[in-house]
Amino acid sequence: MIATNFDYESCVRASEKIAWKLDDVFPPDLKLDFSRRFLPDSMSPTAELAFLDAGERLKLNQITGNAYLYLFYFVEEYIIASVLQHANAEVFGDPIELRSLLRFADEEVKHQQLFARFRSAFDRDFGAPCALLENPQAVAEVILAKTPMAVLLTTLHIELMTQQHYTESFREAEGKTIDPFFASLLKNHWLEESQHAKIDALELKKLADFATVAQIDAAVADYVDVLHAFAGLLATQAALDVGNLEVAAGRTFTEAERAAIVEVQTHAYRRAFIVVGVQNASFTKYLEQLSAGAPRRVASHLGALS
Amino acid sequence: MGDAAERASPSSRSGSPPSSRSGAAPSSQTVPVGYRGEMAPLIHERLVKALGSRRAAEVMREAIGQIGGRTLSTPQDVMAFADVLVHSTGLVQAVGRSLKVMALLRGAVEI
Repeated sequence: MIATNFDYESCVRASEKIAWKLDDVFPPDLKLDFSRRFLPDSMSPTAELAFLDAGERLKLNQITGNAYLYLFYFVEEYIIASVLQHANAEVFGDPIELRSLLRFADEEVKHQQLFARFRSAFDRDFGAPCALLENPQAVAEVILAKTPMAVLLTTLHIELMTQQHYTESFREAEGKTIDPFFASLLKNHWLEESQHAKIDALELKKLADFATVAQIDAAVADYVDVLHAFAGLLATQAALDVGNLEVAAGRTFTEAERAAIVEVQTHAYRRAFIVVGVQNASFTKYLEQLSAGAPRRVASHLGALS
Repeated sequence: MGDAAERASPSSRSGSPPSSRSGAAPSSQTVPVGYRGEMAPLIHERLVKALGSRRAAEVMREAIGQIGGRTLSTPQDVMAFADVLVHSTGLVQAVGRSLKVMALLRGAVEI
């Protein structure tokens, strides 16, 4: 049984209180500051790549920051489709639940627009084209083909992970070691994602209340499948980053250097997007409430996922 | 009293209201005698909200009849009920579509 100490009404109130406008957070004509790092060291450990000079490390940090925001754009594609399904299930039902789900969907579309605006500004002024993962719709199709409870577990993982990124990495580094504007984007994202994680938990409770043990086991297995698929996507982005850095730096790396960059990037992405989510204390609590053995079952895959 | 008036007057019936998870004003409609299953109150509440109590009772009676008097206990039962409504038109169809999504999210499968 999923237990929560909040409800849909408190989520709507909080959402109304902290709501922000896209143009206020990211004015359309704003230029990014490419003299600053976008990501904290914990999320872009470029110091491990001793063969890069300071300028190349800065560029790799910014390339990773661009990909980091794009990955949120990428996953929000399926989250929007999923939360609209949940809203559809509440038509003629509880109006407060319906409002919370519709605000959730609206905010996710706004986040996609925010990250698309960042990508446009980055592409315009970074000075080199940067390749990113293609076709978020295809990934959305794969995830949405999983059981609804697995889809919700994946979304809950992402929302809680996002919060942890901000509170443990960006808030501390904001204005000190990283670009304050980049950190402000993550702060505004975090403010709204906080409600989304609560709504995910409330929706998960709805589904779990009717689920059999077999359905819960299948959901956990599906969620692990999604994590493995995501790990593959993150490795693909890491490989793209090498080519992006070569173009931006204007030089070609040796095979050993290329392999080292891929390894550092893959490990950093997987730690940020997979390990942080799986090990998040709230996520572990919900997973355990769903099935006592599930946290250990999921954690047993972390070796292959990090 | 017409259906529109009934929708505008939620206190027109007495009885125990279905529970409300969010603290929103609960419906005062009760499930008509004869409908069984854990999911029946929720389905009835939604039909009343969309159609008013008189029409809701008619639709519920007809749909349950078409699925052989089935008890509305599981998401799969809701799915069978919703499939009947989906083949209707207008608001009845809209309620059916919503119930069908709800049933699928709770683990029901298309047969």
